[in-house]
Amino acid sequence: MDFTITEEQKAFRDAVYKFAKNELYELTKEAERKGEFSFEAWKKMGEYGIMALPFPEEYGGHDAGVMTTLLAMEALARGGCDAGTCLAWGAHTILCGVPIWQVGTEEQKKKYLPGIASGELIGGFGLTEPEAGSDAAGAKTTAVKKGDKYILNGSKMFITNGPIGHVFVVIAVTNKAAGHFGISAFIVEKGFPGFSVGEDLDKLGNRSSTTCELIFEDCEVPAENLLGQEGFGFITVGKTTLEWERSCLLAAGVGGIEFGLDKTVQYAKERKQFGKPIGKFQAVQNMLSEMKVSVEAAKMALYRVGWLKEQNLPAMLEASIAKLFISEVGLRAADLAVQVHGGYGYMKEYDVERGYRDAKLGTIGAGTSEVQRMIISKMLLNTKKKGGNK
Amino acid sequence: MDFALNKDQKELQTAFGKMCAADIAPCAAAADAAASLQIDNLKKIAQAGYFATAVPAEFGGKGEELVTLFALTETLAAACPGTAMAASTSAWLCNTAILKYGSDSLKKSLLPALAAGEKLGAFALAEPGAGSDINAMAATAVKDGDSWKLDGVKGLCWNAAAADVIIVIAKTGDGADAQPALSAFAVEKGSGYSVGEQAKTLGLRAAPAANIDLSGCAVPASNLLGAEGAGWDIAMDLLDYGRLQMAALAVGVSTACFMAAKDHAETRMAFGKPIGVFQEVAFKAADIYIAADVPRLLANQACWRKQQGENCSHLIASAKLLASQKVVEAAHKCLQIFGGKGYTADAPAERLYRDARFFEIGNGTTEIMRQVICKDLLGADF
Repeated sequence: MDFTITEEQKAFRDAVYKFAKNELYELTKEAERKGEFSFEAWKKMGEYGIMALPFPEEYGGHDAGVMTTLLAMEALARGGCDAGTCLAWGAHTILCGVPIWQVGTEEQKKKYLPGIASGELIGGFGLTEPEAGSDAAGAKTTAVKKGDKYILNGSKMFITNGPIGHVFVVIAVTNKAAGHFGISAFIVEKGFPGFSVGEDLDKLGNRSSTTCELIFEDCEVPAENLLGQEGFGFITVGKTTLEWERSCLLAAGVGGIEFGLDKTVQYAKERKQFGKPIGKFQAVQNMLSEMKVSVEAAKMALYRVGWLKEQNLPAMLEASIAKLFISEVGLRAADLAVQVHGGYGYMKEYDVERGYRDAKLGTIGAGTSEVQRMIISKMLLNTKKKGGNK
Repeated sequence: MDFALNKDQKELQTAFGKMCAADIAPCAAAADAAASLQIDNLKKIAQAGYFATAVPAEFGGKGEELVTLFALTETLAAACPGTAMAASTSAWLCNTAILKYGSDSLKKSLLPALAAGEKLGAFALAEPGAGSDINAMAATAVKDGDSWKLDGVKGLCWNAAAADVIIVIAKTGDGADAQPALSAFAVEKGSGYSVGEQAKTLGLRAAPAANIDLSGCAVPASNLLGAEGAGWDIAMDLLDYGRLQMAALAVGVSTACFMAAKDHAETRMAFGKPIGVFQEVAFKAADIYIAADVPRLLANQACWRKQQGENCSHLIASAKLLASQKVVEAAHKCLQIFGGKGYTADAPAERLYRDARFFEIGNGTTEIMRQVICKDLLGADF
């Protein structure tokens, strides 16, 4: 065992933290207040190289590796880049960029990755549908091959970056009868005929990220934009993105808890009641220590996924555990942060107010807590063997 | 970064786990019912090299890292928490105290026998009137020529009756800031102390605990551990180990809860199906698994940092707090999965439920862990 990170990783993490604190904190806080995406923050992140982290250098990436990407995202959120902007990064880099990099043809990679790596081309991912969330096999969006095109019909729901995105990885059914092996992935550009987006959706949290429905009405997608083999969209794209999602995207969640803890510790030291800083009261220390234990444990659950992925080892169970644990302690920590802040915590002026609203997405997005427990228990229990009551 | 035990460590754990499953686990229920130390089991554990794990080779040990001792301790606790409590008290606290603070001659005379499991160790810090408030202790040690004369009563000392060596912390005078000066001693069997009646405990009954009356106890000057007056620092250092020990036991008991719950969920039929197909049962099983899995990661890191000599008491406290809270939840869910049977001594759930409760108390309560964490988080002023 060894729990060190390299000096290089440490230095980069610290630099990203400062960058977020100095360049992104105010901008994204303001964007969240307005419920708008900050193109200015996005541009800065692109110039800093945040979108380029995981991709190979030949496509404009930084070849940073999972651990470094994960540490950078944790630092970005801890530095104060708000959850919505981190979510936009995830939908773009991890959910759109990573599958194109992992599954795409050379032409696809050359065409899309440099723009995604620089942030000039904003990406998104369309899996969820109005009537099919975690039950991806129940998807209704279809793709039918006609000549050198696929014709897509249907819609995708709750798509992060939908209103502002230029390119989307979209999952559609190409052969209903084949079940999981009848689902394919496509790279869909904003300008393709028959593609449109719905109205911006108003949300509880993550308000600096934009969300809408993607609509496909006889949408024409060139056959060369099929991503991976036909019929393998769920298996390959789903699998490659999933573990990245449950490591690098989760990292921002951990950084968010740390940001909230940092703010709360500072408040508990400064705020005086009954003649002393409230941090001296055991009831407040009780809450602070719970947050701190959660942070330390969440980091371990997260880094383990990064460590497994870096060695190309399977991390399905560990990724689900990390997702479940981090999102649930995150929600609790956000609640505690507001509680320590008291009335001020309920005010929009204080960062923990938005943290409270942002945290709820954790237990819902990318597979609810219930879905994670379903995955975990199915991997752990064998209910197929013969039972018999004693 | 590397979250895994190395090949040798894994092999050690696997071999030890086989012995525990074959020889220790089958005795767990009987050991609990008998409420007595299982000497035969301790011998088997000794033969398997458990007590030698973290002792350097020059003193007859294996020179393994703390993470290895952690892995073996949780493995043992998964088989029989009570027996693991008794054995680990010797390995984590007594061995460590002598290794880190004993004179060369004391190390040579005691460590090989402790590593071999021929001698059993104990740790006596708390008193009936002073638990976490260490400076309030009443036990004293007075220098008398070439020996120290001890007096006072130590409370709830695990292994008290069976121990050959007890690490005792006692007052040796006045220190700075109106606090007492404390010192640490290796008190050997036959040095004049007496052991009280075995305490009736909620759980961990295979690990008897009792008060120790130190009046009439005298130890040679060479049995002083560290410098005179260094007892507070030594106690704090040993408590780091003792808290890692609690975390290891808690993780092991959570694992035992998971194994029991899994078995029951897979085989118990209700409404025509194994109950594990129902989400109410399956999701509890998932939570029980996580109750061992995530605290283990944190505790492993804490062990590793302690081994590196880092000042990581807050991280150790975090690991202990999380592991002990999670095992109480795990045992609760495990018993619930067993239903009515879980409430009876026919199922392991009932015993595990009682055993689990100690780890939120032993070697510093959850409340004390929070203080340790907040001292680090907020600064020494808080």
